[in-house]
Amino acid sequence: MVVKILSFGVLKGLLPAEITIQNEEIDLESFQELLKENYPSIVKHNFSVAVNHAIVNQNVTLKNGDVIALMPPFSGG
Amino acid sequence: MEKRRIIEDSKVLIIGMGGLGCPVLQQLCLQGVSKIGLVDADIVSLSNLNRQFLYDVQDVGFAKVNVVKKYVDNQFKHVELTTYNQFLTVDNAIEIIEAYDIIFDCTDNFPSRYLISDACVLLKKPLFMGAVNGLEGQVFVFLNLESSYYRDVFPTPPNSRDILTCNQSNVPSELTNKIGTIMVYNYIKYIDSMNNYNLLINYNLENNEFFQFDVFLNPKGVENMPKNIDQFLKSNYQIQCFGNTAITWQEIDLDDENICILDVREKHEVPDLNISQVLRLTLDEIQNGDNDFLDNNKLYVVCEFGNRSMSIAHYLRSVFPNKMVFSVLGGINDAFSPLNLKQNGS
Repeated sequence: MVVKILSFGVLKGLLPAEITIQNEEIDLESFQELLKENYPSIVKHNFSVAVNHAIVNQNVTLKNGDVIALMPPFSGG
Repeated sequence: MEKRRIIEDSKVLIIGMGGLGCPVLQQLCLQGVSKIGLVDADIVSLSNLNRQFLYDVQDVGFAKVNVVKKYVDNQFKHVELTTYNQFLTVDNAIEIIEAYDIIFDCTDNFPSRYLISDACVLLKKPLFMGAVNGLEGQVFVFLNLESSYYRDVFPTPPNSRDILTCNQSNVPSELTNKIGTIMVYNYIKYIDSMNNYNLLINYNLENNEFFQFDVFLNPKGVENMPKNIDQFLKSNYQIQCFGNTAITWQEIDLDDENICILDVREKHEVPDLNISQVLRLTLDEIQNGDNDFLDNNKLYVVCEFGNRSMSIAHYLRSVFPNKMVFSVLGGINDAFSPLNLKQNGS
């Protein structure tokens, strides 16, 4: 399956726009672990996650074509 | 007509009169809002002028809220402007916010964002929040009162000593103006629809991309925020965001050029610290406006043993809420221990 990735702020450039996973389905927590293993530079950053344009705060099952957004907080004003 | 009346009669509070506060204030005035409050204790500095368009070179050194008051009094006769020449703290937040219907957070630091968000949840006030970083901006619309607002998205403050506090002079005015305008437009949209929803809008100036995200109640956010006003009054947002004030010499990255080691000992006290980032200023000098250290985001305050520096660090945190200020444990006395600080050339 393929999931799209939107990354913002300091995460932009650290992650690809798309990731192909061998599994047919994967849950969000495992997916995040996978990201951290493959892109360790994101580990030190604090970010929130959205799936298909809704911020999620619990584990969900991802499916082919889902859009995952990773957003760090911005402080400037 | 009825909606027009709501916009005109609502009491709107803007916290922070920087890059976002300027366009938010101007747009609100243009929309016909007639009762506006402004909170900021900052003074106009030269580095503000590239994007904070309400200030001119002759305003440098003057309180922002006073400069803005003159502008609004001249330009928008219908606006009744109340100014608070102070930073928002747990001690004044409740009283100030309570007097308004709608809150705009235009601040530039995490302690203020969490403080304002928590206060607005507790007081049940709709909140529009803007934030920028480089060429990107975030607008948060918090209208659903059954939530923990900013903590629904970021339940825990970025409790790290390595938070990137961006050099804000790099943020172009095209971005801050756009983000400020989106904040006000979403307020007008809310008055039109009266729908209660929470959302996050991300805008990227570089490629003109907009993304919008729905925000839902986050139990972890609710758990982390103060449960009532009493708990709020006892909260320390500086510590939640920047960690404890005390730090050891070993934790300081002396290779980082963007730090300032502020030696607050009296001039006669010896020995000198032989490090390039050291600036010697006494508390008197700081209070008299000598603040050459403000170009640096991280300030490490040192004195002989670490006691005076602790109280000065607390003072600096309250006066400069967007700076990461620490007091160095053991002070100068510990600096010369061979384990702690490698003196240049020794």
